[in-house]
Amino acid sequence: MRRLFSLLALPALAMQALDPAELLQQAKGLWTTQGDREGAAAKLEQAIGLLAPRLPSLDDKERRCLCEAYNWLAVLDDRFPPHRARVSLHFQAILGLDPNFNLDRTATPARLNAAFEAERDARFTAVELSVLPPGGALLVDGKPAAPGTLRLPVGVHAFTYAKPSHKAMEASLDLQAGKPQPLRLELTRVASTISFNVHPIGAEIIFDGKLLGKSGGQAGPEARQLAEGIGVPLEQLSAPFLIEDVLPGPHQMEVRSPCFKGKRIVIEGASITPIGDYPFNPIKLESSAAKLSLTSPAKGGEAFLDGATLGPLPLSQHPICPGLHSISVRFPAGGFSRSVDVPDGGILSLEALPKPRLAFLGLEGEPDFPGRARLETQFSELAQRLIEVAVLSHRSGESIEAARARILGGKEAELVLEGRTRVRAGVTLVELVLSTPDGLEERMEVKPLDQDPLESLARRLNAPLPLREPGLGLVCLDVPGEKGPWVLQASEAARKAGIELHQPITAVQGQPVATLNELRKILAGVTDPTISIVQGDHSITLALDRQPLEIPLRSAGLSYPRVVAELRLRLSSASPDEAGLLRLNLARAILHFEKPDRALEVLRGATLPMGPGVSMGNIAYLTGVCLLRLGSVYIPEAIQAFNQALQDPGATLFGPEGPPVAPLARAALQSIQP
Amino acid sequence: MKRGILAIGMLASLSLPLLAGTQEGDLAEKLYRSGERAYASKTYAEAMDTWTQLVQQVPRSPQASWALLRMARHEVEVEHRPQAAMPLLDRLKQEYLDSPAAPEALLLRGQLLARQAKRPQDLREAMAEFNRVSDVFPNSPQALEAKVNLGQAFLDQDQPAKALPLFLDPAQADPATPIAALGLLGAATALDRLGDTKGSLTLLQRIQELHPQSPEASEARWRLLVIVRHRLQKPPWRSQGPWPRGRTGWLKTPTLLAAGLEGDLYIYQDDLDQVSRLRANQLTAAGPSGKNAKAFAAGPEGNPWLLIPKTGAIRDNGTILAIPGLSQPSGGFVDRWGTLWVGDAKASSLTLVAPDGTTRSLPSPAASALVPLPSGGAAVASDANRSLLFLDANGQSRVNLPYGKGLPNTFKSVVALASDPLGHVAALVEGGDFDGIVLWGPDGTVFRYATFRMLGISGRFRALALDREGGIILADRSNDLLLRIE
Repeated sequence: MRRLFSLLALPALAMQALDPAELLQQAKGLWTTQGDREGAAAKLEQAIGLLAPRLPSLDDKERRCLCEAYNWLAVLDDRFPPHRARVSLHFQAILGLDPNFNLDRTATPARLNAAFEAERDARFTAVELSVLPPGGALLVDGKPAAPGTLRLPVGVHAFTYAKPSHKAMEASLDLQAGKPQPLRLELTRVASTISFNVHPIGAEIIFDGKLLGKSGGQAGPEARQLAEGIGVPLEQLSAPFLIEDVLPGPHQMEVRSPCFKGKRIVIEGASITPIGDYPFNPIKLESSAAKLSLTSPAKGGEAFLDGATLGPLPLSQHPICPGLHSISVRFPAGGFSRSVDVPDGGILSLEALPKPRLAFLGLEGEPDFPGRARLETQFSELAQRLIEVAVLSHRSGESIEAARARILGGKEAELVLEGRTRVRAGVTLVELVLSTPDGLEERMEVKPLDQDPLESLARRLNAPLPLREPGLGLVCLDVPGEKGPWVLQASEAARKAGIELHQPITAVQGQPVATLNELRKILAGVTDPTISIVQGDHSITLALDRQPLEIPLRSAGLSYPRVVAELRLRLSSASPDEAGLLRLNLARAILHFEKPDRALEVLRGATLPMGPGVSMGNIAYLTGVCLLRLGSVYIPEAIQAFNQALQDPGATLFGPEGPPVAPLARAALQSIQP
Repeated sequence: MKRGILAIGMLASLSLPLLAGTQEGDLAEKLYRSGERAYASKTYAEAMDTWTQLVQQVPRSPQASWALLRMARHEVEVEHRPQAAMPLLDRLKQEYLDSPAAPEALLLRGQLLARQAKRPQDLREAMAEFNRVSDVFPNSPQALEAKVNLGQAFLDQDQPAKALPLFLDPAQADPATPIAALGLLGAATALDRLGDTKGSLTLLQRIQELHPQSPEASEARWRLLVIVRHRLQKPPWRSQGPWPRGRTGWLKTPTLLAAGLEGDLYIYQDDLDQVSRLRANQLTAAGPSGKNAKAFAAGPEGNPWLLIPKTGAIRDNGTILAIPGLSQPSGGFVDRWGTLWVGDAKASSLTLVAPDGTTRSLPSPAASALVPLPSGGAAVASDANRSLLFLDANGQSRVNLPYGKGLPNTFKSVVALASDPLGHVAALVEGGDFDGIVLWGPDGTVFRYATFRMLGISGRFRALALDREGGIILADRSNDLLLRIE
């Protein structure tokens, strides 16, 4: 039994391993050199057995091989009387495969050849087909064909010949047995063809506003002179790019490639008249470049340009292509992204401050409700609307729980956002929950059918978070009747510089100022370290200071989870001088969530210089407020904190022009020590 | 089959309470909206009936709490019957503390209690209510408003230090909100009372920058100007001549002047026995009329009452408040608690008439003139004692200024006094070696002065008022005109 299986299996394995063309050659050898008819016939039948079952999928070479195998088998069968009757069948098979196949006259006796020709002439009629100009696409009965002698079955046949820049031609013939016919298909040219080589290879070719493709291939040796003529190595010159069907008249062409200056070329109508083939001079694009410098106070950043890594920060004058780019930096915590348009030859210097990363987890609840698709689209487009947070793309198909576990587990984001549907009075609303990984969250309800349901969220996420404002060490008032901001108070430095109290400032940086608001606007735009002002007849130069500010505790314009996330990021890379101010404001942001214990942790060890302005007294006062909120157990510590606040009499709430902290500390002390 | 019937029966019994709940909710909503429609069309009685019906029929619905609140507000704002609102608010407090209307109801209740207070200690219940709102509903919009109200209560009790942090809470939370503007104005007042003029000014400036279109900004604007002019710039006073510009001989013996809360000027013309109001250069009869009025008393809304010897006070609505023994009234005002303070040049005490009509005397030297101070007390000029006293709300003397202190020369008598809400006190003085005007700050510091000779004016000046541009208006009875000094 096992042996039988082996015997059956062997031929099959052998057939799989055999090549029909090889079998054909072996058969020819056996017959011509050894006269082994049986052996040769067996090989031919093997070859036919391999090819015939795959008839519809045979390529031209295989089809020819099969025809030859039938041809040689017919010759061998003709010499073996018991098989002679099969000869006609082999000829039928050949004609079915390729009516234009000619028998091998070296192997086929004339008698057999005559019989084959007679059989063919009975079924097919020859057409002598010629085309002009050559090189076009010829179709016979809708199938590709080549010019020359074609043998076609008797009956009506359709011929089509087409070539770019020429008017296509169609013809029809009614073939009759034994009556060969000639057919000439000559096309008329109706448009021009232009061609040119391009440097660099791969440049985009836009012709009359339509992208035709990219210059491809490499120019051959015949273009060496052209390459030398434009000063480009031959291997950097493309093969000719052909534009066909170019109608008479003017045309516009644009050639562009990244990191090269694009070219716009006007092709005058006269240059392609009369219609014909026009090889143009090669087009050479000049290279262009820009530079990128990227730094960050935060450590561990990796820069990406259009998604491709540029390596770790800092980058100094890194060459890049001019144009629109997306620059991003991945930090161990936080991200930075910016879309920039870099001019040719420009040097772009950026400081990448890590921004909180926001991950949208998904929308859970009602699977279908009016406005859902629109709302989901808006979520997916949130990244384009947000500039103060870096939005991570949502992984489609991932559940909210899985996304949360992945993001929180991998510390992939500083903020997570999810939507939860709520049905109220029969209407589906969506509650947006924005939270930090440690659970400081805010909720807002949106109506999916609102004009812009995410407008409020986007606005608050984009709200600027200034912790300092430019100042001159002056406190000014708008006093009716005065010519400009009236100086109520001045720092020692400002007074030494010549500022006089109770006098108006009339000009700043050469611009007249009438109000304090105007003065602030000018200061906001000044980048110089000093500023010139006019008071009375005197021009005074003052140093521009960056004065610390406090954020509000419950501003409707701020998203407090984002504020917490951003301040934590800033704190992670802050200088010791800046850390105190960041801690003060981070504690205020945390206090927004009624978490005095956590705010206290942040304030611990925070320091700021003594006043005037937002200063050490603010830290001490806020510490006291947090301690008081923890309960009566912490009253002694609160008293100590408020007393410390009193040690800084210049401390002011909000900013340099805010109300003093000391009376508040005093009032707090009175309330707990009546 | 039996099991099927049982199941249907259970479903029916389960659904009944649900159905009832839904029906009640619908009924409550319909009644509430019906009341709202009626109210909007000003058919108040129908609205009240509908809401009353709602409270009776569906008392546990959220709409019931809103209906009670709406009715209470109507009593306060339209009917001006706060006493009728209190039972409604009491019920809200007792039965609907967990309802969405509760914070607003408690706040309103506190505000009414504060308004009804007749003495500082009467504010306790109101303050407890304000504390309740901010403690129980800390995240409600009313919580910050309650803090501002609490701050105002402390200010009314002359405790600016305690008021200050409460006033600043809304600005700490979000300086862009309207309640923050009100709080900042209160904080500016508190700082001024605490003597921190610069701190007060920076807050007044901040109000103008953050809320330029608000009523608080208008208030802040004039306060800032007046403080800067009187206390910091102190330019020499100059006469601007007849005021309004160029108008002479247009009055009939002006003898009394007073500035109203809106910046208007009230003038009593002796020949007409009538109070007139000057607003935007237009003089119209306004307020009470009466013969032989010797002084104004600033009424509760800032409108002047007339003080008539041997009669008493004629209120702005024309009714007479009899004041026994009033001989030569020299000034008066109604304080924050509704008590009328009256000075008499012939009496060595001040007369205080409580809202219930009871009268008591406050020991004081005979008052040649008397004006209110923002702390709740009064400034009293006594020619007999040759001193100017600043009394607190309890009548205790806080500042005692001998006539002529801080001036190059002394004077003998004070013809008239004027004050403003910032605590500035101005006096028209004569006799001795100084005939002119003097202006003191809230702590008794002389900020500005000028003699008539220095001003280059002459006349028979009988009254003065402080305006909101840092100027002083004088009434010249002999020339029938007003003069402005700046």
